[in-house]
Amino acid sequence: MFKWIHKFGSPPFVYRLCRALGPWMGWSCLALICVGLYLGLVQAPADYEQGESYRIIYIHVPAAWMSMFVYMVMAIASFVFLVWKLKLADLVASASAPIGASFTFIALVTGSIWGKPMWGTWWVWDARLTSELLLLFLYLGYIALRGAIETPTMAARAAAILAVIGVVNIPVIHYSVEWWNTLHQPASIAKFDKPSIHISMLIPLLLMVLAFQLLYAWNLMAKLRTGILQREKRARWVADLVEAGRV
Amino acid sequence: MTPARKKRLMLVSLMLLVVAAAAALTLNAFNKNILYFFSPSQIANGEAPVGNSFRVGGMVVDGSVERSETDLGIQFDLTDTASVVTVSYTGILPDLFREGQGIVAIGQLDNEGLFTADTVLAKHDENYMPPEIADALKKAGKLSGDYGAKTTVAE
Amino acid sequence: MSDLQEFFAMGGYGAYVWSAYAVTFVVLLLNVLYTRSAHKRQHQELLRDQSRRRQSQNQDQNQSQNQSVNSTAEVAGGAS
Repeated sequence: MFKWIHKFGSPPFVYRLCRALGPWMGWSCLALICVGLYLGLVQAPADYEQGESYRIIYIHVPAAWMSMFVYMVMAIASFVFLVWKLKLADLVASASAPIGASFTFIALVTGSIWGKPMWGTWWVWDARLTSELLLLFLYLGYIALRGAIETPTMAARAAAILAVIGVVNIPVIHYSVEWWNTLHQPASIAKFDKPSIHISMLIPLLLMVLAFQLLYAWNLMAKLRTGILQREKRARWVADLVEAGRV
Repeated sequence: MTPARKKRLMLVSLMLLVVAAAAALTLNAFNKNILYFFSPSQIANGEAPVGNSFRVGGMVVDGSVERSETDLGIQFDLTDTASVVTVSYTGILPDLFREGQGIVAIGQLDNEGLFTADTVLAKHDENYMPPEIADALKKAGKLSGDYGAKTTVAE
Repeated sequence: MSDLQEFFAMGGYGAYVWSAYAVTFVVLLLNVLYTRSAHKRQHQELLRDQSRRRQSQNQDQNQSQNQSVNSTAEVAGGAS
């Protein structure tokens, strides 16, 4: 019944899958960014309270969502690697870390740029902002740990443990605006039946979220291909690929 | 699952549980001790410390804003709909500062009950909509100035 | 003010909005470019390995050809 799942442990299969899907992801991501930015920056109306400054939402919210989503992928992959010793899972986790760190960095910087005119401060130590900063440190710690330990298997295992432990920070980020009295407002799209954001502003936001998802998937697949080639460079099928010019 | 794998799974799960518990305790402490946050009602009840810096949150009372003619000084009343505290501040205000807006002020309370703020931050809600819709909602009474007040009920 | 100027001004928040967008897309672009260059480097390494393999194969073949020439010469010499 679960025979098909074993295919995802096979490097040649995953390599070909990534190579086939990659371009689709890339081009649809680019198209979505174009449409999303046009609708968000040109078509969507100004906000009743924040005027034009609210348009930072179209990059800030997708980046913040992705910072948590990528971490969840990284933590689950690390868990699979720790328990089932699946090397490809470790590859997924290590390839996700720099992308996740980038999204977290973007969420923090754009939030700061948005906070200055609206809240009146670049930074405040409230629970939402502090836990998101902790997320950046978790990503950087993961990357540093992999670099610091010489034995590759040891490095992979130590980093995976850190990733799994750090997952407790994710619900803290998500619920921080409800648990504590934060300066950051609660989520606008917590409930899909009745979001607190007007439909003309919601559609571009959702398009940008999808675009960032595709960007992550595209980048992850490209990184997986590189990682698989590196690990399997002595394998017959890799030599055949090089011979055929289809790397 | 092999016994060795089962053991690893148990070990990782146990570790996760311990760290989660530790984090929960830390955050609980964080909640109680570090964020000195008081509402105008708590200040009225004398729960807030005099002479120590803390935060107060509430809604700017309509018509209470008095600006100084000589400098950037400003004085306004802050309410959580139950009690009122008067705040004085000198400096640049955030763009969102207006009557009816939810704000957070950081500063100290004196013996006369005047709160002198060294920072004033504006809080906005999670609603985003075009101005015309907001006007229509306001006319229908569904969106009055009181949305800012819910920023203070958390305590 | 023209429509375009108005668009870039963003109601006075232009500096904030556009710097946020600039930071975002520079960081995302760097991600994509870094991934590309890493893949290219890996590909080049594989190509180097391949040409090295070919060279050693050719050498092996040459050596075995020389050996066979020698051996035929020896055989021929032995016969005479």
